Amino acid sequence: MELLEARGITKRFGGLVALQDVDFDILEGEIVGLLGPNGAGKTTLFNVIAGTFPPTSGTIKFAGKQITGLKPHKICRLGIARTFQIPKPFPTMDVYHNILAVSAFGCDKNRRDHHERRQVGEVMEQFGLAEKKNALGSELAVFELRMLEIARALVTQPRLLLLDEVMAGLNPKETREISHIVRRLRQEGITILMIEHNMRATMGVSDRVMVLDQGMKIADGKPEEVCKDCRVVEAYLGEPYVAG
Amino acid sequence: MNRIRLTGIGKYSPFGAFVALAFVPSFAGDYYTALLTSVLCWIGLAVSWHFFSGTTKYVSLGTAAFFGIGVYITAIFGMSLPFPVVLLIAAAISFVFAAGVGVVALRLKGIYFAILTFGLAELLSNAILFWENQVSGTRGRFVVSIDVYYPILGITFILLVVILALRRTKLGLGLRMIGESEEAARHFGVSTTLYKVLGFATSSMFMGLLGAAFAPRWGYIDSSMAFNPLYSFMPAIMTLFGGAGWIIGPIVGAVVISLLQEYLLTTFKDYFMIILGGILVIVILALPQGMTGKLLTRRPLFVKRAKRGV
Repeated sequence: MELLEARGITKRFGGLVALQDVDFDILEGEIVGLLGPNGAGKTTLFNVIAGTFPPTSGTIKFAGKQITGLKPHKICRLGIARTFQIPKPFPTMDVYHNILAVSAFGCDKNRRDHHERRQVGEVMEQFGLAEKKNALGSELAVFELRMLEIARALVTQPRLLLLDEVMAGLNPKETREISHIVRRLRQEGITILMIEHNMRATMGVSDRVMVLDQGMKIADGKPEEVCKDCRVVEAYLGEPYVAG
Repeated sequence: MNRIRLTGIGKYSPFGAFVALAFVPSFAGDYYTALLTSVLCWIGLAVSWHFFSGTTKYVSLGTAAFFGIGVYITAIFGMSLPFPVVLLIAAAISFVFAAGVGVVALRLKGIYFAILTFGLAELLSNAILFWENQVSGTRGRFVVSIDVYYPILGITFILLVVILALRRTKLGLGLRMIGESEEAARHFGVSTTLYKVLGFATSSMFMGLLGAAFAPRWGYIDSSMAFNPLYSFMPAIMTLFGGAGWIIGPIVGAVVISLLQEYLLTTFKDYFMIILGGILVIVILALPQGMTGKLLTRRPLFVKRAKRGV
């Protein structure tokens, strides 16, 4: 079943076309990697889905419901949670209250009643934040900030989780840990769309990858197929590297 | 959140303080009663300002606009309607007016919001002056004569109780999240527009209420008194001076600065602004988090960390 259906998504910023006529579906329970060189439009696509700004044209349906142009808080409450590429903690609130505050707002009442609620304590335990319970948002290290971003997103009881470069700048051990988390969340029934630059990790964890280049979708398929796609190699490495 | 709560007997001390304050006029002279009235009014304005601007970091310099609206409501209706009714009208009009302004102004951030709100007070002041000059042909108004000590004491007390309670509601939490990171707040389910407008209107409502209660002290008012820019700047300065982290900050700031101002004004009549300005600069340089900033560090001296929970 399609959880997210995007049709003809175009986003212009003045003369710059950040996204051009992008179509895609995300099926319930999938892990989809979103790849592309810098400036390809990946984060713009996330912003359009999460409601940060509306698309210039095109429509987005979530679980069969039109969500194009809705405000971000509404989209979050309907069940799409995101993390930020640059973590945005509440800097003078401690970890516990960072998560608690989000859990107070992030989920519609009727939806909350239907789902078993993730408790703040449980989420902190799960993401290794229990020891940092009293640390302020501004005092956390990079990996802890990423964990806090994911933990906050999860207490909104999302059906679709948008992860924006959660592995960037992490060491191999931490990267593996994030891969584990992503797989575990899928087992718990959460669909995941992740932007990632770490090719190996993305290829390893995704069921399917989509590649954006200059605002257009140039590939969509199984990781091993997309890897061999000439256009993808060209987008990343340049024309001379495309094998004959 | 570093919420600090008084424990044991300390919990009731604020109530005790207000009961004690109710008896002040019976033994203190007129001068001290009048001074205390001003101090209480400043506390009310600073705490109201802090509730919205201190929490969300949308710095408003429009306090005088709402205070002045209150003053004029009393000047207009004070003679014909019972005082409590006048106060209710002032609260309602300030709330509605601030909500209307907020819908437009709260799209702006930082310095732009500050300038727009400052301009609002000036606009009202000059609009009323224009009206008086050109239309009604009057200058200023007489205000009904009422003892303002108890109204101001009562309103400040209620305002403190209501604002402390509101800070623990979803409105208070949402405003806090907006101040911490508006981008994160709106992506995690906070309807930022609604919360900002409600917060701004609530804070302005108390400012209008204080203006309405304070007006009879003057006997006669005009637009330059009612919308004096001092009312816009002082609550912001008091909050910064006292520390914006916790509600005790604006209270301490209001008490210290208003007493200091009074002392300097009576002692060094001509130089008081220079001295006051100098002291403010030194304190803000020495204590960037305000006088109570240190209280918010990990281990406060005489208070316990609050129990967890919203």
